[in-house]
Amino acid sequence: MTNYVLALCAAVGAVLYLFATSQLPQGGVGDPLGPKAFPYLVGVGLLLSAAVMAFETRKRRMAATALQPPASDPAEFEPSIEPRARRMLVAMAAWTLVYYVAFEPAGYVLATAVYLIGLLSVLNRGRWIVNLAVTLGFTVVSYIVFAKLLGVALPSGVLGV
Amino acid sequence: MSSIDGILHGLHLAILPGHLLHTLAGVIIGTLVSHLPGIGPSAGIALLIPVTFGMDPTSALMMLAGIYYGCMYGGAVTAILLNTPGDAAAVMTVLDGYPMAQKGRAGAALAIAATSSFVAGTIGVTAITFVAQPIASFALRFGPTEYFSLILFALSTVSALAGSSIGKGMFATFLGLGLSTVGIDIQTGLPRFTMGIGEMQNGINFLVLVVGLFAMAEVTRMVEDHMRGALKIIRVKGRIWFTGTELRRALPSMFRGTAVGFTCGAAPGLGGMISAMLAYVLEKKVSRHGEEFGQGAVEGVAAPEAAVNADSCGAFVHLLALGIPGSGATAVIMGAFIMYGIQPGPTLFREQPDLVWGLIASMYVGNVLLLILNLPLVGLFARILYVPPGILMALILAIASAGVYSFDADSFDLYLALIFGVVGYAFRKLSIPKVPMIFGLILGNRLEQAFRQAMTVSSGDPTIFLKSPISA
Repeated sequence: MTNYVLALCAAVGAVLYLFATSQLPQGGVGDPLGPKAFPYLVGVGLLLSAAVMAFETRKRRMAATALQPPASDPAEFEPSIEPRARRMLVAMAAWTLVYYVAFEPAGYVLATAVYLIGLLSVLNRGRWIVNLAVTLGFTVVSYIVFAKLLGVALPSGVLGV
Repeated sequence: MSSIDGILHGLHLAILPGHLLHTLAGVIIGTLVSHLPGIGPSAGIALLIPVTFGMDPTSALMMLAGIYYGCMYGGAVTAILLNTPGDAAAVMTVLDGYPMAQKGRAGAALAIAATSSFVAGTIGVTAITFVAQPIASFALRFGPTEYFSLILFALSTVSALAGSSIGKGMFATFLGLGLSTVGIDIQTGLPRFTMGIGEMQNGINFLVLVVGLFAMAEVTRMVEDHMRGALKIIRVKGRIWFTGTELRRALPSMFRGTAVGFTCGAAPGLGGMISAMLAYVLEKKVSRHGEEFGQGAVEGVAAPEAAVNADSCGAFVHLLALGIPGSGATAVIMGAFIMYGIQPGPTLFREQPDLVWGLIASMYVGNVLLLILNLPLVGLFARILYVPPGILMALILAIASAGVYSFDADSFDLYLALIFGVVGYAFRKLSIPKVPMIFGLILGNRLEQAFRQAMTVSSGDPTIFLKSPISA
């Protein structure tokens, strides 16, 4: 089932992309194709890939039903991941998003330190001293390497460093 | 310059202290990266690219290439000691490497893996030395029509072979091509698909895609493994060396593996994993000890390790001679070339002889350095495996974030990387291959330029692609 949904999503995406392409302004002279031709080809290609995916799933499903009862389809994606791991991943993604939002206003050093200690207190639970050492060590070393040695403009934020 | 003169000149450059140091740094980083289960060569190279801004391109590329083949060497260590491949290419080494370690032959397995990598790497670089330039000279005659067809061929092979389903491979490729059309159109200066977001005008930085798709998405796999229960590490006891019998059995496998690997590497987009699989299957067929495979056969370690390393050499032939990446990691290295303002491809040998020969020669040097890193020093590096996975995951995310920000000092890229991280997670769950998407993004612009130039030449007649003998 998941593969059909995927094919459908790809098809819808392709149509949206083709529509967006048709809205592009046509280019000037000296370029017979203009900026639209290539995206049109890509859009058609996406549509084609959706069709191939749907066809493959159908073929696999038919092969599977010929062999065994239709309930089990080996080609289908199984949501095997434990709910606990999934909750953890969602929380990590959300925490990372918070980090990115705070990245410029709070500054690299502060935001990174808070982000890391938060992550470590969950991923490496109970080892406060190690976690604190890793957080401080990484934040300071990475700041020196990026900002001082490599001259990358990391945001200084509220701490002003 | 003939190939012999070229390589002698290159060796002279590669042993200059500054270049030697960068090669050494590259192979050490590659070895480290290979020991981190979450980061493969593509993400490792992408994260290191910002560090190379400000270096001279020759040193930078020596380092980045060192990361790539260093990673190919080191992938065996986690395969043997941890029953987990350090990167996808080491998958086959697990099958016999881990059983060898369980039988107390971990040291021998590591030594065989390192020796196979060295033999294959050295033969592979020798092959690059003599094959790349003739191919490049031939490719100099290519016009936009031929280039269009060549890129299309590379994209088709990677779509068809990178995953289990052609449809999904195609989907990933076209998605990458679609991403490459975002931003200002080079020929007309018109913005396309930017959705009114200013940051999108410069297009999507391929480094952001690579870090999100590989590094961040791989952390999600680590989290799942971590929650399923800790992985068991086998501690290395005794000397890292093999017996005479083991070497006698492994040696022919190394050469066969090298041949298989280099051939596969020369096909664009096949990647190390497929080479390793083919080499393993071949070994199992020809071996007199077929029944031992899967239970700790030396050949089962030697052949895939040799294949993986030879494959990475084959991938470089494409990149240097044709400007078409041969694998995910060489696609990222190609991105680095472009960022330094150097167009990889047939003209490279004529316009940048120092760079290209220096780079090839540095691979001979790097192979020797890696043999040292992986034989006497393997125990030292293996200690990384004892770092608690929770700390590794947190640090990978932090390094990835700082790296992504440093590409352009723009927090928009951070959000984009997070989105690609989620996409990468979904791709893994839906078994959609990731490498075709990278290929699509990195080759998309050249494909479009070649397409439009060819159509301009033919005044809009698409049959031009069928009329050229090479193209057709």
